Amino acid sequence: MYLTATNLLIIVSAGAVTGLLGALLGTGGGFFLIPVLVLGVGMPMHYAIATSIVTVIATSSAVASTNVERGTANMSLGMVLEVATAAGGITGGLTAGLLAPKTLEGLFALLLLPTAALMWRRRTQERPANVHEHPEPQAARLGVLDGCYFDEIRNTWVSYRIRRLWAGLGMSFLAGNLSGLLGIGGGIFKVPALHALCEIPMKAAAATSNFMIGVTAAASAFVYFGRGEVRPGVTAAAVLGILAGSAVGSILAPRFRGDALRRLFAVLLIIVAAEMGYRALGGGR
Amino acid sequence: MVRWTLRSGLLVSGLLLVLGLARILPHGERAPEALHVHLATIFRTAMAGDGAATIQLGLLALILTPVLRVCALLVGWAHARARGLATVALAVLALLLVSMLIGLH
Repeated sequence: MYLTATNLLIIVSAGAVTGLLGALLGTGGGFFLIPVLVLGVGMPMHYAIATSIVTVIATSSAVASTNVERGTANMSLGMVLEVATAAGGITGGLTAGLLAPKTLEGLFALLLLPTAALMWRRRTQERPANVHEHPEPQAARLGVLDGCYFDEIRNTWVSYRIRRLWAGLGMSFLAGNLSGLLGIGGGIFKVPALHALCEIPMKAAAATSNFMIGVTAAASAFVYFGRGEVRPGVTAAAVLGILAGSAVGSILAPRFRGDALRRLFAVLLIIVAAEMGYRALGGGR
Repeated sequence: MVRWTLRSGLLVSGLLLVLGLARILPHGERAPEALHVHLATIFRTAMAGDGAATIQLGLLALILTPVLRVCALLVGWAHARARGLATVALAVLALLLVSMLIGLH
């Protein structure tokens, strides 16, 4: 597989878009990058997955190194959910050999439907009962896993209490399994778990998810690296694209309203579900 | 502090990636079978000017950044005597280690 000028341009641009989306929505962007690599550049699927896993880390760390996450990402909650995700990642990785790729993709597509339904139900309440806005930070009455951040668009501090932690843990475990099976970061499930199940505001969900996917991806990345499946040239080009894209995304992110992000995410869910369904039914190979 | 560590890690990684890419672009990607996966070999060949190995070092630096974040949070929480959270961070670190060991046999 040669790194022609055209291919290089495609890969770097795809990386930039991935980084941009990642900064805004807290996803790793594998669902976008993998098809580009497989269909646009002709890369075999398992190499594309390996590259994607590394790029998830690039997105996560790049966004984390800016100011966007500070205060908005709920590290405590993220870390607790990561226990479930990492455990799921291990069981997923171990069972990966037992399931056919089409079964995995079909499973993934099916799970996206209830996820989309969850996000849809959440759409009418940007400020449900567990979320409060106030002019000054008020950490005093919040629990360990609750959070508080400053929303630049609404120009107010927002505090929230988490709900349904157990459901959040369950969904994280599921996301972890898929991560191990398909080599993705899992943000596409983590954001709905955080926002629709645990009911934390969209921006906090995106930032927290961004933190989590990096950790999840790191576990799988060593495995793929050790198997020699991370192609250096392509991955390097993609990562550099991501660093650029996430820099732009980090500047834009605070200017987005929560419900705008949620709508963008919903569109993403539909695209990913369509893509997965298409692959499960036999297309694109 | 954490953000500074992340930024320097990303900078190092980025530099290695650019350096390595510049070296391999004239020649194209190496065949999959010829890719080294042992750390010592990667270091050695990178020092000798191998573009692919340089990139691999950059990627390894990148892959380590989330692990470092978890460590930083663990230290921070332990220092603040937030025992519950510190234990959780330790659990995640342990799980990361387990998956690394499983993957690399």
